[in-house]
Amino acid sequence: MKKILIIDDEEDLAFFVKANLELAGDYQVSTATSGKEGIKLAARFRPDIILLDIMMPAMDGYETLHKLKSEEKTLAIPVIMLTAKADEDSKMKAATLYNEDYLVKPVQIDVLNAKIQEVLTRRNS
Amino acid sequence: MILLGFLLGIIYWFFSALADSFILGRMGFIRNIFTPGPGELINRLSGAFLFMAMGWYFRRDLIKRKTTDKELDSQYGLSPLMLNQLGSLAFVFDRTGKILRFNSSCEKLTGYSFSQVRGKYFWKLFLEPSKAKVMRERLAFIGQQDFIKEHETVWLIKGGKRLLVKWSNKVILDQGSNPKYIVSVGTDISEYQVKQSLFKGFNRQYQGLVDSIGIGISIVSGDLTVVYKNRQFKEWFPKESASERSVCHDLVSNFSSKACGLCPACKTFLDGLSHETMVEVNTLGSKAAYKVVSFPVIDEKGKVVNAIETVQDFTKINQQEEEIRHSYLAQAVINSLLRFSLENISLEGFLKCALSIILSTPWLSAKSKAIVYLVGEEPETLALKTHINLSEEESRGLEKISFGENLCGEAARSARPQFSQNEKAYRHYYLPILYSGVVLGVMDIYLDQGHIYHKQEEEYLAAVANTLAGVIWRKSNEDRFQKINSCFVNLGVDPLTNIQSFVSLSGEILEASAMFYQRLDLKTNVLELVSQYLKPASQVPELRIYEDFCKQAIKDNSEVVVRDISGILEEAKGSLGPVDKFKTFIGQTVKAASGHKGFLTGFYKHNFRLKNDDREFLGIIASAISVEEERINTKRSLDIAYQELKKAQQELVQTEKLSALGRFSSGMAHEVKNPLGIVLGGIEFLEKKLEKSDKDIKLAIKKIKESTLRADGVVRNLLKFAMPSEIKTEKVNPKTLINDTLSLIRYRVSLVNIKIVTEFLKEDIYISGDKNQLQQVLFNLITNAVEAVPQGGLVRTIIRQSPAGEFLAEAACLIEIIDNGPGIAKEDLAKLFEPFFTTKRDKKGTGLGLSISKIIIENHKGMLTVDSSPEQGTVARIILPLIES
Repeated sequence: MKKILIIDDEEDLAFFVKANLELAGDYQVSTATSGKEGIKLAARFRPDIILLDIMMPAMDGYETLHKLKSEEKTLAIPVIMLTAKADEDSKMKAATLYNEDYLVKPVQIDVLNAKIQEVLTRRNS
Repeated sequence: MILLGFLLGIIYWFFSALADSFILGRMGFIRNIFTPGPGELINRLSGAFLFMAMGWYFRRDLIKRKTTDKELDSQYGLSPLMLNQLGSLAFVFDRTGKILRFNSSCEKLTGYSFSQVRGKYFWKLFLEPSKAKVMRERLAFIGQQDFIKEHETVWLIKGGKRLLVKWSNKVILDQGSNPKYIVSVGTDISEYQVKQSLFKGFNRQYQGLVDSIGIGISIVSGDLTVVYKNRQFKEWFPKESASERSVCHDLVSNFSSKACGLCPACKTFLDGLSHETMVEVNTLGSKAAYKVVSFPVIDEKGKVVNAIETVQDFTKINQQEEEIRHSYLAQAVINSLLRFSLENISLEGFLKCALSIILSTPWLSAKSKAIVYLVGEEPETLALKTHINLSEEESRGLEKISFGENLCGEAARSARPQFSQNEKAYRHYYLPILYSGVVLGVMDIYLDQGHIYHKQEEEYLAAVANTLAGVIWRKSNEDRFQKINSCFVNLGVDPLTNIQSFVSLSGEILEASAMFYQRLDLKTNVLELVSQYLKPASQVPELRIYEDFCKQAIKDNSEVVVRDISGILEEAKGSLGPVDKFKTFIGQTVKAASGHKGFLTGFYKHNFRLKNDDREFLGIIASAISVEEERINTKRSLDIAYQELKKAQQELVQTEKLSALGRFSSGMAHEVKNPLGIVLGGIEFLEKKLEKSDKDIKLAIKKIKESTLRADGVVRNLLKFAMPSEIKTEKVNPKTLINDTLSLIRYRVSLVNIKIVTEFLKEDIYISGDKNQLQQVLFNLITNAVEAVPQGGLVRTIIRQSPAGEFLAEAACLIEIIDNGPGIAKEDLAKLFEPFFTTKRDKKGTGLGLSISKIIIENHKGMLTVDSSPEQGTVARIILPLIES
């Protein structure tokens, strides 16, 4: 069972993503509603993959990503950036920083699941 | 005195003896005294005797003087003391002129004392030598009666000064009634004389003034007798024609000798005040009017002693007043005519009214009959236009009068007023109606039999006729003006302004048979100006024949060209129809700021000589036309500029709208996308959870999901629109681009049986751009075309090369997507590139495809256009700059 951590300030959104992922595959999904909480949880929960929202209050997705990549415990965890932002800047930032994947909200569960599988497969390979 | 003579005789004797002794040396002195020789004795005796005689004489004279003094003092009271009391000059002389008395005033005046002048002749002392001689002789033979009682004499006094003394003489007679003493009492009137001469000078001047003043002045005494008349008065009222009484009194009182109490003089004598009246005098058939004013002359006691009557001739003033009144009336009549002329009535109606007004002139002793003749269609012929109060019988035979036929015709021929003096019939004034020296007609005014010609009447009627001429000319040309008016309406120029200009500047319309304006670039006649003789339009000569004249004029830079065309027409006779009636051609070039625009051409039936007025008139029309040409040009430029401005404005609005939309979209996207994510997540959750529920629930979930995704699509496009991606340029072959795009669509297209054909250039051309973005544009446009055509429809995709300047400044690649669908409505076409505008709501269009496409193409420095008309299909054009292959 793969462990997935969702970091998103939109609790409702995180709730449905969690529910849909759990329905779609063999996942153990945890949610955090802020970057700070997400970093802590990631260190403790040690997810196989993190779904990270970019636009969050206080600590945004990029900063959270940076901190996750700064911590040894979370350094290797792959991240899929999720955001409402569809501009090239956001994509480039995420890609160039840590070569992480990127999905634009709202994302259909099939697409998300496929992306998770792709990332996990790539990681395992 | 005798004793003194004797003594002097002895002394003489003694001194003679002494002289004999010493000078002659004769004997001793004593001896010589007593024993003189016989010679000496006679000498001495005679000397002594002489002295004694002298002594006797002086004694006698002294006695006489004493006697005279006694006589004068006691008998006549003419003592020096008495005479000194007189104060004036006084002296007494005897009949020889010897001065016997000389008073102190005389002494003072003459500078001589009495003792100095006593016994001397006054004439010798005081008169000029010539006068003295006369006086001496007169005195020698004078008798009592001869003495002048009063006389003025010039006295020469000490220092050579001359005095004029006025003397009064009183003669005292002796017993024989002969003058014995003369007493002269006098006054020095030297200064008086000077003043009097001055006064005489003044008096003469005053008299001159009084005589030359132009006012008759007379002084009337209390019994109304004239005591003074100045020259003017005498001239107006010579003695033989008037009594010695006041003229005014005689006229007012009908020559009564008694005070009338009515004339100014009588009134002045009654109340001591000034009075005036007007009197008229008939002299030699003419009537003179005088204004008489009386002024009182009052003495010290306040009594009116005289009345001064001044008489002013008012004849001329009255005449002038009369003339002014006539002028005023004449002006009033002319004003009425002019006012009337502005009414919208026919020329005939106006003339009838005008004649009524003229005949109502109060001082014009005209019959109530008058005629106006106007120059008829036949040359040099007058035709009766209108008349007033003429019976049919009277007007018969007057319908037509040739120039010079009678006095009326003569007035027309000579252009001078005529007066008929026929004794047995009405008399007439015939006034030519002249406008700018041209006879328009004749006005015939009927007068009483025996009416006397009066210059003033003729002048008045001539002025009226001139006024009529202006109105007749204007009224008869109104029709022509209207034609010009309508021409300028067609030209678009304010007609009123032009007509006013023509009237005021030209004064007279060119007598054109036909006149046209022809544009150089367009072979159309814009202006049909005047047609006096012909109904134009159908009878216009072939203008091409005369174009050469005008073109030559333009080449020579001359404004007007005049040609005799009778010869040319003669040659072409028959083929030109009515054109052969024309003899003269006139062409006026029309210039505008942008160069020659065309020419006015005029055709004339006669040999026309262009006058200055005509040139001016042609020039005005040419100017008006050139202004209009300029206006048209300007309007055209303005229209273009306006359209461009409007387009730019629309684009600006569009750009601003898009910009606002972009700003809005960016902020909104995040807020929409999260809720959309929740909805989508929820739907998918339900979809999974209710997988096994009935089909209605599943269908509902499916619909909700589709709508959510559609909303998501809109937001995505909106974000693309707001924040277009950066162009990753690469060299792109449009053929590849289209083929790649078509491969995405073909599957869908094949389903609906739509044919897509490509018409590519054989050679390859290239453009520079973002392949993905350009593909997105092509996808949008081809999808639009496919969706527009019905089943079995055709979409053509064409690539061709557009030369520089066709669409873009440089050579371009033109991609056309042409469909044979129903086309786009005109009102929709304008909104095609507006965001969210769509005609495919039913087909889930977002309305952003074309606007995004346009932005993408414009970001590629190209153009995207869509041309369409209903039922004609649509052409979408992508124009992109070519790059070198």
